[in-house]
Parts: sequence; structure tokens; C-alpha cells
Amino acid sequence: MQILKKSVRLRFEPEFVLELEPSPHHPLTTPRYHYITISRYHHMINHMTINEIQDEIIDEFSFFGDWMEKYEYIIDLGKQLPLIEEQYKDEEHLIKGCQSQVWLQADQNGDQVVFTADSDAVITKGIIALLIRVLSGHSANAIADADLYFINKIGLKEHLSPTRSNGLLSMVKQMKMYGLALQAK
Amino acid sequence: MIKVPIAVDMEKVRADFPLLNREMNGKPIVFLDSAASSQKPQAVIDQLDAYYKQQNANVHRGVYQLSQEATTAFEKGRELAKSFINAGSLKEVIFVRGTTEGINLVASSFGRKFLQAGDEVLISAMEHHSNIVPWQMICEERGAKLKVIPINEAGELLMDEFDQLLTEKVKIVAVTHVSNTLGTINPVKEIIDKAHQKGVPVLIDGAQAIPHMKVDVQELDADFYTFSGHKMFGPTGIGVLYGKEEWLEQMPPYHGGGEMIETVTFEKTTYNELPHKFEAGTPDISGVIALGTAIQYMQTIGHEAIQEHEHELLQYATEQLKQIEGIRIIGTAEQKASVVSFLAEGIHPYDLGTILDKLGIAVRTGHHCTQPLMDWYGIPGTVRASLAFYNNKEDIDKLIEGVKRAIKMLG
Ligand SMILES: Cc1ncc(COP(=O)(O)O)c(C=O)c1O
Repeated sequence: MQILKKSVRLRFEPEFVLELEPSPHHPLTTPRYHYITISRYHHMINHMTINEIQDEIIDEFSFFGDWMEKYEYIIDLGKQLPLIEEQYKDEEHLIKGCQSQVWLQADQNGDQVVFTADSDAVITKGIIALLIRVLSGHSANAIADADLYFINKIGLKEHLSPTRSNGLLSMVKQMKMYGLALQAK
Repeated sequence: MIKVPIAVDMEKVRADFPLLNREMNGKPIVFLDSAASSQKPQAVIDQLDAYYKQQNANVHRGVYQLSQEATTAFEKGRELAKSFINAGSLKEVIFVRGTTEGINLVASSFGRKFLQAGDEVLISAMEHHSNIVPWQMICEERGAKLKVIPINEAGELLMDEFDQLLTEKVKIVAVTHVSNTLGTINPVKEIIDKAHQKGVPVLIDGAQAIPHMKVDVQELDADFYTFSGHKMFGPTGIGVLYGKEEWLEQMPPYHGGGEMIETVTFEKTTYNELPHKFEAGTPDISGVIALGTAIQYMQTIGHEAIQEHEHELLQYATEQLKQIEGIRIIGTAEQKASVVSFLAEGIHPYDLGTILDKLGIAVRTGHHCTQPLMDWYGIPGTVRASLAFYNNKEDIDKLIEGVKRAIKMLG
């Protein structure tokens, strides 16, 4: 019910209507304009909860036969388009790790927080893509309280250990800090 | 030159290191990170065990037999360290936590006594952070300046520049014997001789030299020489600072506390004599004793055998790596020991290291605590394979195969 109410607010922004593919999660019986608006909005805010997305990723990863397939997938994710706009790859957005570097940018969109990020190492970047898929587009509350169990479940825990020093752990902390800061507002 | 046949069977030596039997990520481990910390032979592990089971008591303070025994074993460790580096006297062998503490001790104590505003400390462009930061700290405190001997592309010190930098303002020179990132063996004897001509003392960071070559501090005429036990097959937490008596006598104590005092009143304390003046508090007793065992262990293998074996492996690894397309070796000095750093074109060291890890190959990636050096090369870091005498040709073959596979995945 709440979602519907919010969707009304967004319906009038034209780019939402134009860009979108119908979402399979919604019945086709819904009036078209309404339907598109809802699906776009859902896409924006993540129509799934943080935990639902985590479970979805865990499910996807369960199909990989061995570590090679898993890493090839992560490397692929990492090689895709830059996740952050070039202008944000500066000192201000840099999270320094000993091993690799990470850039993080947070935007507020209504009561959702939208993250973009990047790294100089492709494996780090691939994992960033997963973290963003899970955390971006949720409320500050949800981000601040998120328990990122999927990392452990898909066998990538080592990449978020403090000794790894690749910037990822600091990035997650930073994401949650944004959540906390916005929550406090 | 006639090649002396080496009597030591290195495969047997390898079997002395129990850790090398384990697996990493489900594969037999290929350990190529000995420059960070070496593995320990069974003899050292047994010694630690035996100490805590049979000998444990504080040293230098008990009248009872057990404490006497511990003290004797502890001081025997000092004798072994002395003969290992051919120090002139036991007073010149100070136990510290490791290289880092050895350098901090000298920087702080020598610096407080001898550094004035406007003076200079001369280090090199390839120093480990632990031979940079302590000097920066004391320079800041004393108003002195840090100067840096530059290097060439191969990773060799520019000795002409060194001559220019060695002015009367320089109060101490501190350089590494072997670079942990590049493997370069520096001409430390020449550096020491030149500095001494101007009356300037020299500290040598021996962390990466001691595990691989014979070091004779008197022959080098080094004023200070420091190294870590854990990189030379001994335990963590113990290291040695060698210092010439004439300097150590003049320098103020570093830490205050028990052991380092002669008499204490609230008005005035007089200090114990060398080496105890620099060993405040209960020392790492088991560490010293087991370090002695590591020294004995290295001596039974012999420096010649160690050097020959490692040289061969380094040569082999370098040649094999060069044959892989897109590999760039960082550090191509004439004189090198046991370290090969490299980059694969277009691939971040972290990514390469991660894939190698999955293949059971332990290498180090990153800046290796030599950030200024990486900045000089304009690279974020390297992948570093570092050797010890327990490595073999098979380890190198697995590394090469792993690098090829990683490049295929990442490239
Ligand atoms: C050249 C060099 N100097 C100093 C150190 C510091 O040694 P430690 O951490 O044992 O004090 C190291 C260790 O990495 C080194 O390689």
C-alpha cells in the first residue's frame, strides 16, 4: 500500500515512463501507465528487500561449479562499464586500501540512498557491483541495519577481511555511515 | 671458477618445515612470501615447546636453579647471535622485537644525542617504511632534515649522487642491505667506507640480507646492523640490534624500566651496563633461545649452500617470468637476492595475487611498505615472489603456471 502511494509522486516524471521495461513481477492486468510507473519505481527503490536480494545472489552463486567460474563471473561484473562517473573519482571520494583503491559516491533520492562506486582492481570492482546491487536504492534505515550475510554465503568473506586491506571493508562501513547519518536527520 | 659440490640435500631440508605440508585453498601450498616472514623448522618449534615445558623462569633475577638455567640459555642465545654476525663483543648485541624496533631505538636514542637543527639524515629511495618513518619522526623533533639517495630504473643506488649528498651536515646514514621490494643488494661496504671517511656512522637494515647471506659486521665495519628473527626461520617478536660499543656507550637509554638500571632512587637512577642498558623489562626469553636454534640451523646448512640454491632459483624464476608476454620485472639490478617483483600488463597486482591465492600460491601484492619507491616507479604496487632455501624448482613452475592462468582469466 505504501509503495502505491509513493509511486504516485514519481509518476509525473517523464523519463521514468519512457525508459522502462515491464517488470515480470507485476500482473499485466494493471493499467499500463500505472504499471510502468510502479515498475520503474520498484526498480529504483529495489522492489526487493536487502535480504531478498542477498538470497537471490546466493541462489545465483550456487550454480557455479568451482571457484574459477565464480571468479570469472566476478571479473566479468568488474569489467562492465564504470560504475561511477569520472568526476567522482577524486580524493574526496577515495577510500584508500593498501592493496586496491575504491571510490564511493552516495546520492539521496527521496528517502532512498543510491550508491555508485569503482575500484582500480577488477575483482574488487566485481564485488562492489554485488554490494551495490544489495544496498543501493534502499532507505537509510535499511542500509544502516543491513546484515551482509551473502558475502559469507557465496564464499567471498576473505575479500572483506581487514587484513585484505583492499578498501572494501572501509567501503561497506562508509555506506552504513551514510545510512546512519541520514537516519539521524 | 670451480664449483664446489654442495653436500646438503635441499629436499631433505624442505622436509624440516612442517608448514610446507599444508594446503591452501585445497591445493598444496606454494609458499613464496618468505621476505614477509619465513617458515620455521621443526627444531625451532621444538625449542619453543621445550622452553615452556622445561625451562620457563624469568632471567637475571632469580637465585634458584631454574632461573639460573633460563638465564644461561638466554645468554647463550646472545653468544650465538654474536658469532653469527661476528660482533666484537656481547655488549654490542642488543635484543629487540625486530628490525623496526632496532631502527626506532637508534633513531630515537642517537637522534636525541647527536642530531641538531639543520643536520641531515641520509636514507635511500628504496627503504622500507620502518627505515623512513622513525627518521622522519626524530628529524621533525630535532629540526633536522631527511635526504634521500636516488636510484636508477634498474633499482640500483646512484652512488655519484650519494657522494654529493654526503656533506658535513649528514650525521648518520641509514640504508637497507637488500631491498625487500626489488631484491637489490646494495654496496653497503662502499657506503660505509665513504661515510667513515667523513666520520659519519652508518646503520644497515639487514632484515632481508640475514636470511640469505653471510654477514660480518666487523668486516663491513657497520656502526649499527639490525635484523628480525622471524625472517630468518626464528620466532616472531625477537630481533637483534648490533651497535658498536663506542656509539652505544654514548647514547641515552631508549626505554626505561627494570633490567636496564643499576640503582634507582626517586632523585636519580644510574643505568646498567651494555647491553642491558637497552633492554628494559622482561625480554622475549623463549624468542632469544629459539632464535639461537634458528642460527644453529642455518649454520648447519651453511651460507654457501643457501646462496647457491637461492641464486639458481631466482635466476630460473626470472627467466621463466620474462618469457610470459606482458610481464615486466620491477628491479633488475646486477646484484640481487631472493626477490622477484613483477607486473602483468593491464592487470592490477591485487587481482593477480587473488587468483594465485586460489591456486594455493602465496605471494605478496601491494607496495610492500615501500610506498615512496612505488611512487618513484609510478606503479600502485607489484606482485612479489620471495624465496628461501626451502623452495624448489617445482614451486617456481607452479608460480609460472599460475601467473599464466591468472592472466588468461583477467586479461
Ligand atoms: C627491508 C626491511 N626492513 C625492515 C622490515 C621490518 O621488519 P619487522 O617488521 O620484522 O620489524 C622489513 C620487513 O618487512 C624489511 O623487509
